[in-house]
Amino acid sequence: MELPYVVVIILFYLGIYTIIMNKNLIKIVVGVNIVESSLILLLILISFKLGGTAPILDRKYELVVDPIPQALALTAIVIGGSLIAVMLALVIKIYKRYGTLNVDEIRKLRG
Amino acid sequence: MSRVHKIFRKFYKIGLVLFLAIFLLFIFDEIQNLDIKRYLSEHYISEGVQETGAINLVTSVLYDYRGFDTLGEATVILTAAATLSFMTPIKKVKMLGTEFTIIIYQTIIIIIPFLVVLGMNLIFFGHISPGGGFVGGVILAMIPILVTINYGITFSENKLKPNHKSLLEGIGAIGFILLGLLGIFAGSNFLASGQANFGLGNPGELISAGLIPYLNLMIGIKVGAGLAAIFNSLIKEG
Amino acid sequence: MINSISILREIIAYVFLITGTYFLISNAIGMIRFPDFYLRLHASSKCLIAGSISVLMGCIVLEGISYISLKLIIIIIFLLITNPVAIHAIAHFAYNYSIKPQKIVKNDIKQ
Repeated sequence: MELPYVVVIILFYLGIYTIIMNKNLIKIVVGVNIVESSLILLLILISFKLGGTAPILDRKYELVVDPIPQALALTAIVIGGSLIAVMLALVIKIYKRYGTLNVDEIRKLRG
Repeated sequence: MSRVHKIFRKFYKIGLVLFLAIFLLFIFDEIQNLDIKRYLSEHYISEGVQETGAINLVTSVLYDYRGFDTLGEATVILTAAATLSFMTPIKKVKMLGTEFTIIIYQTIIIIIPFLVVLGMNLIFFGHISPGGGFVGGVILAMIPILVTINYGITFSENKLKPNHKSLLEGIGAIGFILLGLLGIFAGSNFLASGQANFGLGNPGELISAGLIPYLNLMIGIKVGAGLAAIFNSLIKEG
Repeated sequence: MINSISILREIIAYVFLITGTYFLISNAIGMIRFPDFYLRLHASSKCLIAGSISVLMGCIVLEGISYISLKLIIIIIFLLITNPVAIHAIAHFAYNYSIKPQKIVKNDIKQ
């Protein structure tokens, strides 16, 4: 059980813990971002080979790292950024309508 | 009763998270010791430069072998920018701002040309060195954001109008689709640049690899304009 | 590693890297535990610059005189120019929006 896989598990469950236990809306959004980052780290870890170089072939190399999960990770970063932007816009609209950012109080006032 | 209940619920949540963490640890232990051969990666590594003409293998996977996923991601950015600019009010342009000192104005005037050159270098040389369209687009989007933070939103919308930004985003998206249709006119599939035998050139030069430099340029323009429009919409809501 | 890099160069590089790690950890702890806004800003800016420059100097010593060391020196110059300006902008904005510190000893801005 190597060290980078343990770091992925720790980050993932720290993010889920933040989403479950907090009462402030903005801290929940930060928790979603942490979960997203841990999954991108897992994608890059799958493609690693010991002793390999980066996949840019200007000379002849013996052992080259897998290039396919790196392309998927690039897509995942941009999609995560757009998700956080739309979430923050919705948080601003909720604040203007209800006047508070506490999850328990928003659940009580309905309309 | 309710105090014991609250403590019990807190420990229950922590215990549940720990139990799921140990469960995931066992799954990772099995993933690590799999020893299957990866046939597709070996094919891309050994035949990639000959078929597509690009030295950077990640760029050739992202724009030539799997070009359709890049189109889907461009759609995601377009949807986010459209949703946010739908939610902002039209007339209200109030923003929290203050008057800064001369140190900050002079530093920004010195840094902006370097940002332009760095962004264009990463976009154009995307198939030779690490980089590509997405990273260059993000750096190009920093320039309107810097101007908006420091000079206020009225000045920034006077100089870099929002209509021009949405026009650039439209040019980027439609340009990508038209370049993909060029593959159909040449007799092969949609978004094909190595299969349709465009002029591949020598690998390692600037003009090589068929359609890939032009696709990089379109994606760079689109991402830059989209992120700047998202930032301006978020600022205007307050 | 012993046949291509001598032992003295390796020891100096490790000293730089460990010092950089200590500064970055103390940056993270200081941002959480300080009670006031201006104190947190003070802790963050100084520790972040010191940690980044130490880690990059360790990498320069490991590589020797080559093309890569020149690129790393340019990165250090860029960090030294732009980071103090950014912290100055944050503090100036906060003062104009009446976030006052808790105990004022001497006020330099109000002339």
